Amino acid sequence: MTILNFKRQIFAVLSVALLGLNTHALTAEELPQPVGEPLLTVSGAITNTNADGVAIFDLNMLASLRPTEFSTSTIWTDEPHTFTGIELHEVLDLIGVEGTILRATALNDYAVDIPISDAVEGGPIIAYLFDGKTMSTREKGPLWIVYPYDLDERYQTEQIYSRSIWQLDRLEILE
Amino acid sequence: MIGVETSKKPIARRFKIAVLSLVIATAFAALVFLGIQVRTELNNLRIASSDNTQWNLSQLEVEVLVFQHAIRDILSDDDPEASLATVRKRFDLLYSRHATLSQNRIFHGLSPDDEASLALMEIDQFLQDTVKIIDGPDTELHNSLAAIFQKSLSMRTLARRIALDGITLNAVNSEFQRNVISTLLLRTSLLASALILFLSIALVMLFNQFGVSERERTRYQKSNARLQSILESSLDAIVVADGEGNITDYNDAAAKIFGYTRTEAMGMHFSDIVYFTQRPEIEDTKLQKLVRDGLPRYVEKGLVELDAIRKTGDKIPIEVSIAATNAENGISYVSFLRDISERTRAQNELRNARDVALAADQEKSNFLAIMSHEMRTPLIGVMGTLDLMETTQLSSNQARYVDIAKKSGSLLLRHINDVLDIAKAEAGKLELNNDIFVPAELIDEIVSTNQTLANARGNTLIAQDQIGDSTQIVGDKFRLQQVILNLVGNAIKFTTQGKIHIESYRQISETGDWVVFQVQDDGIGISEANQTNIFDDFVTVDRSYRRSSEGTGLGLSICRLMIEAMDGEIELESQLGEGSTFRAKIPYREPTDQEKRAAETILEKKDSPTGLPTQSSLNILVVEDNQINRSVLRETLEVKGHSVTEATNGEEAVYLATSVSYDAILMDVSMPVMDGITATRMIRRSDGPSRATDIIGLTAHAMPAEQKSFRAAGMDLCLTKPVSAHDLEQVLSRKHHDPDKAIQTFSSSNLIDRSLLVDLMTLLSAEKFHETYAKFSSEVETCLRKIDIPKSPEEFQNAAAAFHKLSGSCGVFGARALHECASKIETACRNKSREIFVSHTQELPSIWAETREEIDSEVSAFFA
Repeated sequence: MTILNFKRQIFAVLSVALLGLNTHALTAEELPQPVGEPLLTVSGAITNTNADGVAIFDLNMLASLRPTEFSTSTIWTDEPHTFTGIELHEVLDLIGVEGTILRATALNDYAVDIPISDAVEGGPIIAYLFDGKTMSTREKGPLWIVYPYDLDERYQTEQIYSRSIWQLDRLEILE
Repeated sequence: MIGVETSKKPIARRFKIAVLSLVIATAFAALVFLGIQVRTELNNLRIASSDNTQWNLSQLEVEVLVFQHAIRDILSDDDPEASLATVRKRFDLLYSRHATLSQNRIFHGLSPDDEASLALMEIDQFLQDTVKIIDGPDTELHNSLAAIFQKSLSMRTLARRIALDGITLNAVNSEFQRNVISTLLLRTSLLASALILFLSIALVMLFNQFGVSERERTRYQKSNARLQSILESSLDAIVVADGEGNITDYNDAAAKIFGYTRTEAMGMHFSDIVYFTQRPEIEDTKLQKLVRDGLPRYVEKGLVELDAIRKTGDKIPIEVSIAATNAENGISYVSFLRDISERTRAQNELRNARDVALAADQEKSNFLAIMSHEMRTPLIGVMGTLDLMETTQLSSNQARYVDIAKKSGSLLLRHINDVLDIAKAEAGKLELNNDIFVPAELIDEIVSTNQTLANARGNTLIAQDQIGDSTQIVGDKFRLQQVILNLVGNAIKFTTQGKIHIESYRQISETGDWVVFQVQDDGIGISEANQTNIFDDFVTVDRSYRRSSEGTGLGLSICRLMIEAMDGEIELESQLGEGSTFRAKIPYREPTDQEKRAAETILEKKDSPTGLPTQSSLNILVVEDNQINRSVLRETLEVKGHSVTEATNGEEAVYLATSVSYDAILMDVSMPVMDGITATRMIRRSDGPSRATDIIGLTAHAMPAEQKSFRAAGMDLCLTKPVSAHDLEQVLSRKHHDPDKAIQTFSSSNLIDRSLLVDLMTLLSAEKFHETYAKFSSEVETCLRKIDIPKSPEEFQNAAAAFHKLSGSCGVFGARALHECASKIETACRNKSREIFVSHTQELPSIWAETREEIDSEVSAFFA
């Protein structure tokens, strides 16, 4: 990892820490209640919830999880950018997924089914920082499922691109 | 092992291989390049360059509509849940969508004037205008909603425009992409097919080539094996040397010739066994250099004879043939050597035998020629005396004896002349006259003179001419006459009670234009076996044939030699028992105008009134130094009723001719004091009464070359000695006589008889002559050294014998003065006259010195 990336990582961690006042690590046993504006609602076949059968995350909750950061080019941007977020499999582990399909839905109700098998270590992340900054709706925020496209050609297909959903606000685990 | 030269790969073949490799490499490179391109394109296909563009495009319009809907919900108040937050959220989504779409690659290539670009820009403008209100306070936003809605209406149309254009662009892009790929694939497959085809052909060719080279290899092996066996079984020695001359191979035959084993020979140098020079003693390094230079010098020169040195040190002659081959490791020389000692020995023996035989033959020829020549002179005397004897009162017996003697004498003379002719013809010294004559007259003459002889055997001679009485031709009439006479004589001899046709005709054939003299008889004929050699010299003539003839057997060979000397041919057609036909052919030539004029001049002169008178009694001057000849001539002429005055030399003749008028002068050419030529010239130049008298030259033998000088001196005619009474009468009675009849040369001095000397030089080869001359010189000089006044009768006798021998030798060389002097000394010895002996022997050295000088100048002039 380059010095620059390292700096960015530190910066990202600091920003998250500033945003969250009651920062603490989330565990499988205990899923805290969201304090800030809810960013993501996970429903369906999950075991770990913090509301009525759903798991709701705000930015602080997400930022308290172990962040992953990578830089990659995308087909939607002209140059490579740095994305910071939580690996999808970590989120799914946290909420105790029992299904095989993950249906992700965006603010504009765009929805796409992602096989749970995609959620591997070093795989897609739910990004909440774009070049170290949070993303507004206008900038495809607040959340964006990003695959490390440059890492593997398998991540450069139309199918993967269609799974790279931005303006994400809901996840549903299907059996 | 003597290797066969490996053939160099032809340049053309190398070039072909290079081109082939280049083609294949290029094709491969192209294929690899195309493959990479295909792979890239396929990769591009596999790796999506964009997400679902169609969705994005259509979604813009949707977002506009949803945004409008959110506004309308508030404005209409229908939906209580409608809120400004929703409007803001929808706006943000629209904003985001527009931003995403603006970055989409399908619009990248568009110009700013394009409808889609303009639409994107217009929407952007709307968003930028609206975003301030959206981000502003709620009341302000609420108040602006109606206006925003109004503005957003046109956005929908723009969004649709963008969607449609985008789809079209996308389609075009896809189409282009597909075309690129299909073209690429097509190219690749074509190239691959071509390459496969090419490689297949190459493979076939390779297989072919493999077969060919396999066969070549087999053949090469076979020929190598064959070569090896040839080398080993070769009877000739084979020695191979490298460029430096070091022996690199050596076969069994070589071992036999040289005596060195193969192992021994391998370390040796070529110069150790073969001499390239006659000087083997020169130092080693030079010799080696010589061998290096020598080997190439003898290459491809065929068989060369050199000397070889055996192990034993013996030198043997060998025959060598050397070839050079350019092998991989430089030049090597392959020499084939053969021991030719046996052959050389045999050759030397043969050569010696041949030389001895040739020398013997030459001696014999010389002897024959000289003897014939020497025999002729005394025979002249005999014949002349017989002529004279006939004119005296003889008893019938005596007359018969004289007749027999005359016949035998003339036969003997003919034989001598034959031998002389053969000797001359064989030496290529036969000189031919260019006479003008009529063939018809020639054969008529022959028939009339031979009719009697023919009748004696019951034969009839018939002359038939087809050329014509008026046609003159040019040729040596005398010799031609000799030839025809010979043929007619033979025909008469071998025919009894038959007819002999003598014909002359012209024959134009492929071989030339000929005058043919044909003698045809119906006699005994000649067997085929004898026909082939009948024209050869007497040695090969059939004995039985020869025996039945009276001749020497030289007749036909003389005929052949003479006709051949005339550039003619002589042929025979005969069948045993049926008769023979002989044809003598000479080239047909009519006289030129100049030749005719020359002949006419002479005839006119003869016919002129100032010529010899026809009456029988003439006043004749006979100029002749030889007493016998002089008296023979005198007797002959007086018998015919002429009056004769004698002169013994030219000086006397001139004196007489300037004071007396003679009707004719018979002038010997070679005489002491003054020769006939000088005398003739002086008589012609004088104003004496005989200055216009006919002068008839007399000479032993005539050479056409000298006729000019005779004629230039003023002689009108010339007779060859011996002069018969008949000839004399003919000349004097002005019957036709060949004006060009041979005239013999003569010497202008008393010292030598040039004619004899020239005869001798003509008969002998230059080498032989010089040898004989040297012998003669030493004989004379020995004799001169030994001169001692004889004291006893025995000594006189010995001296007489010695001078007799010397005078004989002098006669052969025509050393007349010396001969006379020697004869006088001989006589003095016989008379035992010491004084005369002394006086003459004192003259001898000076005469010899002068004579030798004269002979030397004649010799150098003759052989020059």
